[in-house]
Amino acid sequence: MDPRYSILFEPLKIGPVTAPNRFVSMPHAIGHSYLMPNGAIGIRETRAEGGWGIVAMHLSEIDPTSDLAGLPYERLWDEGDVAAHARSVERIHSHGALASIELAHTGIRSRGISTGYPAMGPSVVPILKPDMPFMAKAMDKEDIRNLRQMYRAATRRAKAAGYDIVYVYASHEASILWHFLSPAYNFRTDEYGGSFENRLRLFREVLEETKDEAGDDMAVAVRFAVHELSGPKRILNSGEGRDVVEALADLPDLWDVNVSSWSRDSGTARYDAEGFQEEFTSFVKQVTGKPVLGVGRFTSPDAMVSQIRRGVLDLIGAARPSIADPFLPAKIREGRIEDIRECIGCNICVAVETIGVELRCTQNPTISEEWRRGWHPEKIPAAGNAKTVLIVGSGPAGLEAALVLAKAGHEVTVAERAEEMGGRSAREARIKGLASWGRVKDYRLYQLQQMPNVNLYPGSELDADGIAEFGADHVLLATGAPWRGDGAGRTRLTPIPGFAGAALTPDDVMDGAAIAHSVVIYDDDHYYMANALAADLAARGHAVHLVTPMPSLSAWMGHTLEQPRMVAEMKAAGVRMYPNSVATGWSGEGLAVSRGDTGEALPAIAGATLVAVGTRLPDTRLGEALTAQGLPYRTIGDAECPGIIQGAVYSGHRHARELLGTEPDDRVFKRERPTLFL
Amino acid sequence: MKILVTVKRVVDYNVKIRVKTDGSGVELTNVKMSMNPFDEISVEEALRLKEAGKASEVVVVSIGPAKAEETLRTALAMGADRAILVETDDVIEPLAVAKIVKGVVEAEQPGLVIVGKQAIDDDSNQTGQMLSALLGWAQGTFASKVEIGDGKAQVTREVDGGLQTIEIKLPAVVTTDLRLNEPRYASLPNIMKAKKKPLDKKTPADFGVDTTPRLKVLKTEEPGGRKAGIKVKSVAELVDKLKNEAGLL
Ligand SMILES: Cc1cc2nc3c(=O)[nH]c(=O)nc-3n(C[C@H](O)[C@H](O)[C@H](O)COP(=O)(O)O)c2cc1C
Ligand code: SF4
Repeated sequence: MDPRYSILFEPLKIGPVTAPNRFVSMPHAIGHSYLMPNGAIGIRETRAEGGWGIVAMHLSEIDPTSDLAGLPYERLWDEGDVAAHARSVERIHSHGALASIELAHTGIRSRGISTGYPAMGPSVVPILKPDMPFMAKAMDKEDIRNLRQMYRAATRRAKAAGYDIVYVYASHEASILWHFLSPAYNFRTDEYGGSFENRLRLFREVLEETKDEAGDDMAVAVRFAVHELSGPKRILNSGEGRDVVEALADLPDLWDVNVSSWSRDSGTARYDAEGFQEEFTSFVKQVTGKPVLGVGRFTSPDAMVSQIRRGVLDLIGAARPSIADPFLPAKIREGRIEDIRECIGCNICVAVETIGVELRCTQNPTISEEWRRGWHPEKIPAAGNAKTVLIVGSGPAGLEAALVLAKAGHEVTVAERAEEMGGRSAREARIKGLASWGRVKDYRLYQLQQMPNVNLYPGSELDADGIAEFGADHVLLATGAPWRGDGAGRTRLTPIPGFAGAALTPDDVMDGAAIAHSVVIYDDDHYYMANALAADLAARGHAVHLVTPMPSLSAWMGHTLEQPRMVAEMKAAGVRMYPNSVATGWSGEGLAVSRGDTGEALPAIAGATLVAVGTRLPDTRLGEALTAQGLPYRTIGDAECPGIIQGAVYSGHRHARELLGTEPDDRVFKRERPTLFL
Repeated sequence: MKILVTVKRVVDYNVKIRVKTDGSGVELTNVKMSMNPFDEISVEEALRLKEAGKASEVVVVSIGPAKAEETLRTALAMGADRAILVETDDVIEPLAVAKIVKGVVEAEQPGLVIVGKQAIDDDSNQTGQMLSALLGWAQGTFASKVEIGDGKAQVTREVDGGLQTIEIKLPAVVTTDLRLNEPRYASLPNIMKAKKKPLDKKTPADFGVDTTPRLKVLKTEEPGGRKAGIKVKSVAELVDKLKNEAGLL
């Protein structure tokens, strides 16, 4: 092992248990929930196998009065739930890692609609989802006594399941303990409201009682957000955020500290750099003598070592980096730094969780497939006999397919039309704020460049004759999908008058097309492209008007948690924003628009250049020419179905596995079926 | 004028080099190989001279295993006209290489031989110089600029502390340095076309060269890893350490 990194592999005593190293796979929802324990165990076991010293079970609700209806979280309500947890713990232990569990009552974050019990809070307040017409009831003394009993009972169940570390969770505005603590939600006048000590009371009681139940078997960790960067901003590290750590200083065995709310804790690469939480959490180690754990999208061992050496953290937590590369610790241990598949900080993992589906990741297409498809993030089954494979296109899908097939032992040739390899992950990475998209190609290209059975050819456009002449056993077309310039988008499927021929597409902009000073960008895509181009062009001195037919800018960035920051970025960059504005035509001097909801005409938006960000359409001519020649091929990635980079990587991976013949012919993977009682 | 260019198949420059566990050399099994980057520069220079009308034919030669044919095909795909593979599985040291190339030169009668200043596998930096001595030709080593005149060439050399321009008589041997040019790459369509270009196979014996090694490798070691840094508490401590431990001040 590289001596520079050995400190990361030093064991650490945490209360009655000892972590084998400094790597912690953090609590993060995985979309499998209590309904799909096998798939969930597959994800966590892979972490333990990949070398994480502590593997966390994410937010687990302790009682039916905590009800995150529709969101894929975990439960530990009663004895019946223990078995699934125990199996998960056993799989984690089998690789030498410790298992932790984050027990939670989600208070006013609950919805109280699925289980039928009302959400509970310190006071009668709306639940923390303003778009849902539900309220939380104020807890009376008996409710509080019951709640404390719930925590005690859940802690006993956690112990029965074999966990090594139990969490008292007070972060992300998602814990009743936080709701009692924050003067933003606590309007009580009894001993649980008012003064700081009163608002802290429930937190302290639950922590003391959890310690009591944990006894000498389990360590007790507190997860606490020491600083609110968004939300009501009442708990700050200059005030009560610090006061809490001082008040509870040596009570827990481990402090797991971060920032709130979730959107700032899981900050994306566009807005937050690796290690960005340090400035908010670094005081904690001065206040407590107990080990401190923290996060910050850590992917580089140097940054991790620096945190420990400079006395900021004792344990390095990673949620997203552990999703993108479950084997990150093992790779550092083995000195394979170049093999780390770095998280690109795009929050697709978060977005799919907020829509309630199984975890997905741009960099790691095997996530969620460990159990049900048997996909391992590092191992590819060897191909029986080596075949030649020609992949046309080196974007995310082409490179991922190349890597899978080359690892399996095939002779892989990648032909790229452009002078530069990487397709959209190279091109888009040059747009302001999107540099980390380049990691998609960087990781794969480096791997491919090491392999003797791989040939990479940039500057190599092939036509059907060229492909036929090459004579590969298998041909994969990964030629991507160019943007349309005719105005067809997600809300309007047909061209907009005046767009075709006049509007520039994102491809044109990326290729350096001439752009006038005043630019109108019409966003009917609703993800990052339009606003990233807006920020880029604004930074280059253009006057930018960003127009969208939807009621707010970039709905999908609500799911990646970036929307508020993006809007703030636009504002700071001087980009003028026009939500709820449907384009009806381009005159050459301006965009005619009408209100999205009422249809009333709005004043035209003047500009000299129009950029249309709508949908993309694959160019199918090469495939058709191959078909005409009778040459079989597969179309993968955006060329098969235009989508997000995650989709392209996944497509490349899946098609490659299908080509290896390891996938089910009927497409049906293993499922977790509900038990029939009738 | 005909130009002869030497190309060597070496471990690809992108590949992370690993030393064999017994220290006898660098791990080559199952490792990606490609053209020595300095030789790509040599091929590029020859092609540019041809494109400028200064040369009539570019012939590439490689000495190595059968697989070196792929490396020659790459040179042909870049635009070379013809290739010669002197096939051998033995380890060929610079002197033997120079002797074999001398044999090729005698058969081909080029007006200029372009050799990479060194190969990135063993970094010998000897072949070009030995070849010029064996041929009794002028040499222009570490070239960052080559201009062909009437029966002579001006070669700008990268020397310690700057550049030196010399004039040499042709025929001559030039060895190429990094800044000479930015080589084109072989595209896949050109690789396919290159399959039809002529490639002659020879053996060292054809040139009467004995390739028995004269050098013995005693040990091959990886460079030592960087040691972990330390944290100092004050400027005074830093100065002290730089003076007394690092010996830098
Ligand atoms: C998909 C996803 C789900 C998460 N779910 C939880 C959770 O259940 N409980 C929790 O405390 N934090 C959760 N988090 C926050 C992470 O634990 C972590 O604090 C945050 O992502 C910052 O760490 P990172 O930069 O290493 O990703 C989640 C994060 C992600 C990305
Ligand atoms: S989806 Fe994006 S942010 Fe999430 S882990 Fe993967 S690469 Fe990182």
